[in-house]
Amino acid sequence: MNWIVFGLISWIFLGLELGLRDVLQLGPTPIAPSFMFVLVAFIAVSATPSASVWAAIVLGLLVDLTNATPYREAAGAITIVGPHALGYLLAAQLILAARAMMIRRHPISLAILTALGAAVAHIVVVFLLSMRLVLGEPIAVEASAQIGQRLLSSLYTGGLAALLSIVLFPLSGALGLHSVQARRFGRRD
Amino acid sequence: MSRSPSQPLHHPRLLLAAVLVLVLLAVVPGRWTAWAGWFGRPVAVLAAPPATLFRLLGSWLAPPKPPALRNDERALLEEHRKAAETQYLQLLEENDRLKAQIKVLQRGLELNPDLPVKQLTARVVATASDLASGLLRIRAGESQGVTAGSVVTADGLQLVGRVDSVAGPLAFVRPITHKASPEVTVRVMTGDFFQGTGAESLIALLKPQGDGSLKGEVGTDAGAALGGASAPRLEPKPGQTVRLADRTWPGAAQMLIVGTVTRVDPSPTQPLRKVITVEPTLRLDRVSEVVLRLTDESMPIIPAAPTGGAR
Repeated sequence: MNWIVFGLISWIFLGLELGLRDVLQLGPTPIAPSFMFVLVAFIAVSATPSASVWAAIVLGLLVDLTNATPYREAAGAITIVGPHALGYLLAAQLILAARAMMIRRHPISLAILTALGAAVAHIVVVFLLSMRLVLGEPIAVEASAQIGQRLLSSLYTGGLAALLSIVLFPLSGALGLHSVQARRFGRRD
Repeated sequence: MSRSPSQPLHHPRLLLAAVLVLVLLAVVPGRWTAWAGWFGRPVAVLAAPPATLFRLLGSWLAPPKPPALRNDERALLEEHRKAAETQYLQLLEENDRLKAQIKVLQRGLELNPDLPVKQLTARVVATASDLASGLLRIRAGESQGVTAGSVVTADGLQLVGRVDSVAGPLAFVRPITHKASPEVTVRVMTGDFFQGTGAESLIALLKPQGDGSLKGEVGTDAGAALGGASAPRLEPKPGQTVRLADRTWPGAAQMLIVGTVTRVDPSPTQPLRKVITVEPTLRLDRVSEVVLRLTDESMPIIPAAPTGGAR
């Protein structure tokens, strides 16, 4: 994978994630799609397993570092490193396992894998944030209330993935991702 | 045999080590991982240009709903009227506060002199990408005098919230409608001073609901007038303006608009009491620009003092 092009696309997608999220929210609910996860899923669908998991970790870290989780009833917020990185990593592993059963370069395949992966990533994030709550960190996280909204966000992210596939599939070459046909008779990762 | 530059990525031990570090960082207490915020600053600064660009594009494609006003002239007059009303109410509130301070002085305590409010306009760079956060990121930081606790408004007099934390040239704002925001004491303005119906108000304690609204029970001291005059029994009604009157907030925030009453219901526990639902005059998570009201008084008027009849 071409990591320089990956860095550039990640930067743009991080901008999309931070800048357009509220515009795409469903009414007054916090249900919104994740551009960053669409990129994670696209790379997991198209790239080698090792590149996919490291890309997932990098993108997850970027999301972790640009988020601040507020404290409950008190001023201040904390940057928690890890929940999204681990969530995206597990989601990438799921997509890597499932991609063999799908037609990879198809928008519907990408949408389904993205929705499934995003759901897994959200569950991991909620689990890890809840762990912090259990361990006594007073962060403002309501796992029970968020899980439904996060699962709906996953479906929304899947829909967005189908739309973005129009842009992402042509970028495969620039990203240095192997096509399925080329890999079929080539070296296995 | 030559080694491929991507070979280290295949190393399973490296991946395992990375996972272990991430798990550790994800669960250890915040006081041990506070340094992570330092890494977040350059990432946030780096992400700001495309985020601002896409946010502007988003605002252009789907502009936030403007306040429901008929024409420019009416809007201007309405703005002047609201500003004058706010100024008047602030004076009344100030009068009450000074009376209280005189009492404090008489007991030999020190008086904190008031300093003028400095207003600073700041662009909203982005909202949080994760659902658990919900904070607004604005382009104003330490160099402009922004500190944790600074009051943030939008569209003139609409209170947005308070600065939660400052990270270099950016600051995080926690909107008053954020689920984790503390309860606020407010005055429900049952009359309109400029329409000759007085400036009577009811005190209420509002709790954010997490859906952009605030809800709370109206105090029992119905009839209490802001200026101290007596008034007949007052009732909250939809459409009434709700203003902040919370002494745990800085003086610069007092009497700013919290929102309007959208719903009045009987209290489920005490039928004689009313529960009001208040919504801000604009969606606080969709504002593109905010105004910071900076003062040298970083402390609230009376720190941690219980306020309002509804408490």
